[in-house]
Amino acid sequence: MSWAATLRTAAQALRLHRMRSLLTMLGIMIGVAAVIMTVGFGQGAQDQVASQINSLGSNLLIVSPGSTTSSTGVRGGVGSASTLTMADAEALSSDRAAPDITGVAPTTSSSAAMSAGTQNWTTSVVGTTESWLEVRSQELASGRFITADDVATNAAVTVLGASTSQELFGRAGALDQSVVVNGVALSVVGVLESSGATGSTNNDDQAIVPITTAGQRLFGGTDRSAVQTIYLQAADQASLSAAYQEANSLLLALHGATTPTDADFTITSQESIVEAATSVDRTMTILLAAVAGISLLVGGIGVMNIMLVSVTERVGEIGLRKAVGAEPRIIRRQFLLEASILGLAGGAIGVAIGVSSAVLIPLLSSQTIAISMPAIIGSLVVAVGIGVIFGVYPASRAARMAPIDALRTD
Amino acid sequence: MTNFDAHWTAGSTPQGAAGTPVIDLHEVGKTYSNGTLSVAALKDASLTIDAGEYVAITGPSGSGKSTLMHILGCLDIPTQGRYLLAGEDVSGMDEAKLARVRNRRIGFVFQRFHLMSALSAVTNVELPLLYSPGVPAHERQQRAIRALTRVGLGERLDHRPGELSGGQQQRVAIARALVTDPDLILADEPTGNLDSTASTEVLALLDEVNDAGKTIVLITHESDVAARARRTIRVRDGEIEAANNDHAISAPATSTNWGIS
Repeated sequence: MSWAATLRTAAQALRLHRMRSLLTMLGIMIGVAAVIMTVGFGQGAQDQVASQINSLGSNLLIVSPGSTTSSTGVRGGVGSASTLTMADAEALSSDRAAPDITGVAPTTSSSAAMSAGTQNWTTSVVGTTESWLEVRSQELASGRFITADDVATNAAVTVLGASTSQELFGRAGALDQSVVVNGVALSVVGVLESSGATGSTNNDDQAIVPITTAGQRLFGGTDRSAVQTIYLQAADQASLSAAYQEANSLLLALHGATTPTDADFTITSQESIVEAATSVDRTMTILLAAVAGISLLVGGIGVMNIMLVSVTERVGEIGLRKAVGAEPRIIRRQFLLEASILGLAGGAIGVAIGVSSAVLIPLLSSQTIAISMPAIIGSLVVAVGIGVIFGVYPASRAARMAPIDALRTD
Repeated sequence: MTNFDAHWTAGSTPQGAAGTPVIDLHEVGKTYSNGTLSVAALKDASLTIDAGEYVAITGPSGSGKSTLMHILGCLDIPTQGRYLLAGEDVSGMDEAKLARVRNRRIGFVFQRFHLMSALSAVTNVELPLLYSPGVPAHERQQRAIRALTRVGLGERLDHRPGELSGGQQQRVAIARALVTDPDLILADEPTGNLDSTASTEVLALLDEVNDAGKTIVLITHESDVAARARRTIRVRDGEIEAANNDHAISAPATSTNWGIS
């Protein structure tokens, strides 16, 4: 008997008990839908966090002062010292020493009160260089960004974030107006395009000034060439690791450190930040998916249960089929196919329910649900696998049944 | 019902040498053992049935008649002796081989019909062909229709068993037994579930099938049913009592001799 004919026989048997087949599939349907939904929820949350972090810029490395890798127990953590300088930033900009680093943006950041006419607003004043716009993947809404010239001459200019501009000047354009910070009047030369909030940080509420202006004229401090963070940009994803190596060895040399454990700075990549930020979501997703997977398993046990009942109930049919010449393996195949069809059909309906919920729920709420292809394929494979695995025992029971015993009962 | 064509008669003599008996049992025994307890259900049964014979096997319940029928039908394997079915030794075969032998050589008719209630008469009759290698779907259907026409149910091809009378259901079962053109028709109490009218109808059909050359072995405990056969074999206490192959023994005589009630 061919596979096709056995398949028809199996499908026929399932159609005959439509209601029972549907109820048997219910467990698998719910299990598969639950797996797709939970993985989708988790993935959606991870994607959201990742996209926020990626909005910092692309192929970004972040150099912070201090170190977390010291084994001496003396050195402090990240940000506890100002060990980075403008000289470091300049060295990193060198095409010869660091060919894979395409953009360098040293920054300092301080909170300061700004005033424009009768309005005042406290915001974060970021001192940086002309590369910042490119490195941080920001766009200008109007005007121009600070230039190398501005940096060289400690120019009294500023580029405002979208919300800062809104707070100080309302709908009237901020361009060519002036704001006063710590007694210094800065001319607004440009306004940034809105880029949205990253978690608790509002990227739109800031004022960009030349780093020299910030150090020399606005804030001063003990070391005027100190830099808080240096953002580095690599040409592409592939050269990120090379860029990391170059920055690391260059800075080690500049800071006179002989071994990597002596480093007084830390370089983190955007990826590692994304990794850390999404790990909680991922753990949650795995947990929830495991729970959903258990319900899929329970669904599989349901399949076995019903198949066993079915074998017992269809003893007469099995006996007849054997008497007229069905070999044990053909009977086994038929029952195995019945169980697999239940798994596959239940899985397919579950996928339909899961995917349509993943499409519909975001329309009704703000929750994003990713449609995860691995989850769909994986749960479908598991559903069929469950059908096969939990079908083996009932199928071999049917196959082992002696035709005379089977024919005796009716 | 008179125009039995070559299809039916073709297989009436088994393939191989002419005159090979359809059934050749040689000192066959069956012992069921359950741990320490062993029961000999059948002892030293020797029996020859030639092609074209119509033989009744009778005996009271518990006589070993069913065991003999199961062995003859390749539904069970003997523990001793040798069984040649149409010249082929089936005594040592495994389950899969036995299934193929049953499919090719034996047509079963059961007391309780054993039709599949959800399937039409044609589909029920097609069933054995489904397990025969290399019979395409359209041929299966053609042969099933022919078999049903021959048993007089050409008008009821698409009826389900529930829509047919008991006699008609048994005729569907006979069509199913005939569809593979087997060497042997094995009928186990074929009238046991039928009223007298339907019984007469079914027995008349079996007579016709035998007239067309098919070998029939019929298991019954009713003497009037056994009387239809040309020869009666009586089983008692696990032994074949009419152990000779004397074709002249008539059924009524046998039953008188052995005191069948």
